[in-house]
Amino acid sequence: MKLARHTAIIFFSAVLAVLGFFPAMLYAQQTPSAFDTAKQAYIATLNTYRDKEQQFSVAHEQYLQLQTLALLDVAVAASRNVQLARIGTLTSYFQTLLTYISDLKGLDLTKRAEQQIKIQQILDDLNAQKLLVDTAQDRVALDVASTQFSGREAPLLSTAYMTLALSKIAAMQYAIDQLRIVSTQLRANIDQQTIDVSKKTEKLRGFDELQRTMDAADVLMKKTDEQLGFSTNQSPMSLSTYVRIIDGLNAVYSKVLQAESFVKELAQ
Amino acid sequence: MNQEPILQPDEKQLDVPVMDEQTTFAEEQPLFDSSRTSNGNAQLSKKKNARLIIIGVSVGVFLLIFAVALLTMKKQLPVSVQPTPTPVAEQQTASQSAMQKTLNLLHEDVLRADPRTNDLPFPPVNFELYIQPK
Repeated sequence: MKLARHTAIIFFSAVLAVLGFFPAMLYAQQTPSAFDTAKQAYIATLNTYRDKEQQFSVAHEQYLQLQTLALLDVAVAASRNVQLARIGTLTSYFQTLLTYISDLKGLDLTKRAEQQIKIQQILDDLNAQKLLVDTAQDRVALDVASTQFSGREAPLLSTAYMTLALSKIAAMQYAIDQLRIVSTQLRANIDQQTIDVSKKTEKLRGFDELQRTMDAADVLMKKTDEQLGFSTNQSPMSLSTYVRIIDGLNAVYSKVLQAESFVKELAQ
Repeated sequence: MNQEPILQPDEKQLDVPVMDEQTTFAEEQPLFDSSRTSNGNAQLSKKKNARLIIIGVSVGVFLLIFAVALLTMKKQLPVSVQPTPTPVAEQQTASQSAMQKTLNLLHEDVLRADPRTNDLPFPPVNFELYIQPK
């Protein structure tokens, strides 16, 4: 009787422990990653910026129409707000990019470190700009701050496009590497399989086709990488260069998709 | 002529009632037998405990299965920020072989490599905001 009671107590304790453990695991799975959190924060700042830009647009329009001192004060306040929101949005955006590339698979370590330094420099510049806007008291000072900010557009765009291009290349390279690993496993499986000769021959032919597709993807990838290498020597990197890199990656991607379909067929 | 039934010495010591009525069913006997009531209570409580343990274990097993099922369902949900279409094949993850799982992971990597998608386009901010028109 005692033994049965003890067994029941132990069992119920185990069940309670498991029931406590599973919700904790579920919670851990649902906890957003650092990237998700950063992205959410960025989207919030972007929405704030849109509101402030709208308010500035109205205040600016009214001031230009009536030219009163009261409306000038409103326009000055709106200008300060929108400039701060603009800086906040870009700061949040580059922080998100920084988080994104910090744990991106397939990215070359040297390139990652170089890009992280560039983004950190951008964040420092944005912080300096914020201080400038904070201290600006009148229309002239705010317009000077805005002019200075306009001068930063090219390096901001260049750093963003370069980071995005690097991340796209890294993701593609990682997919190609994984395809190589899986195709090697498949080849080993085919060699070990005891299937009839005709089927094996067919599979080996399919495997050869996969190898050729992978080689073609490698060649195209090398070209795209060279394109990026050429772009890094030119400063700043423009949108058109980024689009050219994406076009190159699209060609690689079609080969990657083809290779993936071969892998799926061979795995059957 | 009127002789008493002969009892064995053991039966006398234990004071076990003698069954006069041989046609009475054996199962009915304890109900009308006051000498066996305490013994019957102990058996009843034993049965109750056993029943409680069985019910408890059943409830525990059910809760365990429920928790495991819940966890499995949650695992199948995509964690990605970007809303990507979930392939039908991924819904059968639980019963897939190791190779199938490898293929699923590969598919995710391939989807992530799609250059046409961009999670983080440059923010559409206006670089020309002045109070005094230029």
